[in-house]
Amino acid sequence: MANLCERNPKFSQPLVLLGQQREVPRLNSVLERLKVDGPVGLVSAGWEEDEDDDQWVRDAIDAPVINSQLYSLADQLFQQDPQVIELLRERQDRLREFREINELQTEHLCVVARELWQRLDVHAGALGPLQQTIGQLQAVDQSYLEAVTTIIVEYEQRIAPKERPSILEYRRQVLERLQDCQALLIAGGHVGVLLNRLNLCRLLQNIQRPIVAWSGGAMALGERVYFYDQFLPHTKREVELSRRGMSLFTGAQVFPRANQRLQLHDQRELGLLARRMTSQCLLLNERSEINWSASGELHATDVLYADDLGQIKEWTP
Amino acid sequence: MTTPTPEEIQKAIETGETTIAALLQHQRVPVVSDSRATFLYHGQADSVSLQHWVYGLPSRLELQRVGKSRWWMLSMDLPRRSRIEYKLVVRRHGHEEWLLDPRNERIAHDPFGGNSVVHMTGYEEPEWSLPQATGNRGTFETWSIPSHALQSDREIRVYLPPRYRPNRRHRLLLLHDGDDYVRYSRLAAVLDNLITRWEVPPLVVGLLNPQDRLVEYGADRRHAEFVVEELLPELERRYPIIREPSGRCLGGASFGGVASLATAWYYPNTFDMLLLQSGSFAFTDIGRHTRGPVFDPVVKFMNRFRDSIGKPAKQFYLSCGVYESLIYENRSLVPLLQSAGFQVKFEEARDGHNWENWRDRLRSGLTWLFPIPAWFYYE
Repeated sequence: MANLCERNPKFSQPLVLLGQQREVPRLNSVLERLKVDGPVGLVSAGWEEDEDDDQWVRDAIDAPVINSQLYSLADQLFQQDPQVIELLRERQDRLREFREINELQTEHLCVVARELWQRLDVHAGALGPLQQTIGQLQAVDQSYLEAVTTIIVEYEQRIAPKERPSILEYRRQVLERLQDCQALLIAGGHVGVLLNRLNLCRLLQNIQRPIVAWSGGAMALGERVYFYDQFLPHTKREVELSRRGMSLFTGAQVFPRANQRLQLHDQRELGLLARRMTSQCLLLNERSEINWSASGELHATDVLYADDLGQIKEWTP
Repeated sequence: MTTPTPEEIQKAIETGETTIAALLQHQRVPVVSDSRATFLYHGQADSVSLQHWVYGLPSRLELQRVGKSRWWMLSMDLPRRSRIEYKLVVRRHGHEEWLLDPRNERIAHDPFGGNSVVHMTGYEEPEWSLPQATGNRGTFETWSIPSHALQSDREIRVYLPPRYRPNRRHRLLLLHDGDDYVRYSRLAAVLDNLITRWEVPPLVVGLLNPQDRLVEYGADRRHAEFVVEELLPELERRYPIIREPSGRCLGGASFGGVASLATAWYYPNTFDMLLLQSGSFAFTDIGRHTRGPVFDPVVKFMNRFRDSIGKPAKQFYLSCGVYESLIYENRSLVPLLQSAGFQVKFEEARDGHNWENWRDRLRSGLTWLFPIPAWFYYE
């Protein structure tokens, strides 16, 4: 049974999650509704060296935009204090080893789950072996998540950010840039890189503002980050758990660009995905919006969800 | 709406013009039902035939007149997922006319004009090849370069991708018949789409265009010299591209495939990647070839290449249509390359020797040759 979709009680600002924005941005109307008319901070670190390629955001909204430079300032930090990046690389190597094992386990369990879905009558509810396999998948996800979290926590302990002048300076620089912002916009890109920079800076812990996040940005704010693309040529990859997100909301797993990355016409694939997720499996498109008001009231428009039978339905929170 | 069977079509024609008109009102012609295609022509003629380029079938197939009507009809089995180009040849009073099928809106253009096209069940035009109304687009620059090797000035067009950054080194794709790729294979839309979707990195693409194609692209050393010794340095001078073989890919279709392979063979360790589509890789094991004199230098080169494979590249993407006469030569190349230790990806399609076949394979070829971790990116 999926958990209730909720905003993290530690975060008391409005929170808006959107699907992809670049083609038909609706950021301006969202900001108007939030009554934001002053400068807004932009986190586009997920786009790495293309962090500054933000003209389309500036064109799309009336308010002035201040790019946080979360990525390029971190680059400067790495140059000044190479140990931080050396330890990060070491961490990534360890994560890669775990990831390969996790991929192997996930792939095999998914093959079994698909086969069982074919053999069993899911509509009649004769699901014992399938549920057992799904349970094993969930257990693999859970233990992988714990292993990854341990490695990340160890890294943070090793770099000792609270006592490290270079990191304190990095955080100070970013906060100074964003101090006058009335809201934070969080773009997508490489979700792993985005999370690394958000954590290195402790941005969301240090600056409480209304947040509007889209696509990969919205993915990064959930409890868990899953990677998915069932249409990539040359590779058949299972939906893959990556790591913990920022946990600003719980009880929902968002899948932006769902129609371009998930086989929505395939009920078996979608049903297995919905069963594997411990949260609601929410499918976002360019018109989708999930928002929590300052008081925590939740609204959603144009959000679909996949149920256990792989059927797509409109989601009302 | 159900698709009428050939028998139903014939019966409707025999019943009268109103009946057949009503039957075809919402039907695409040729009428395709599973693996059967029914070609139709309506008009005064002494005979009508289907001219196609499917190797292995007689190149002309006669349409039969239905009774005493002005309708002509041919129903034939074609494999599912096939894409077939054709023309109708109508003969009247001793004269022959090649026509695009007047009832078929699907036309594939090529340097010789165009052909009508039938899509069999299961074939779909790839959505990633369609130009998008919105989104980032690459830009083109055109300039000319004097060539000592070719004894003439050459016009070069260069595609600069979305997310082109002058301060970053980009990978280079050099394509023979580049303008034809743009015109007939929607190269710009394909690149725009694949790059903006993070399926391939932002490539700089140099578009080569020949002046005397069958000579220059027929394994001619002067062409290879132009590409490697004249053009490549100029591209590196003008654009931020990776100056290593690992960042370079050379490609082309048909004779452009031969030109790519030959250039890379004459200049080993220049290109790590080759994109070879329906390469005209004619060779002989014994005796003379029968493909005509333009193939003489090609066969000579291919025989040398097959005898001494060298190190033209590390990765080879090859594709060929199974309805091409060249399928045998392309299939033959695969084990040869594999046994030499190269990475090879070979794909076949139920299509012929044409630009839309080459378009349809671009995503697969480019994403294999230029992989990026799209998995991690969510725009």
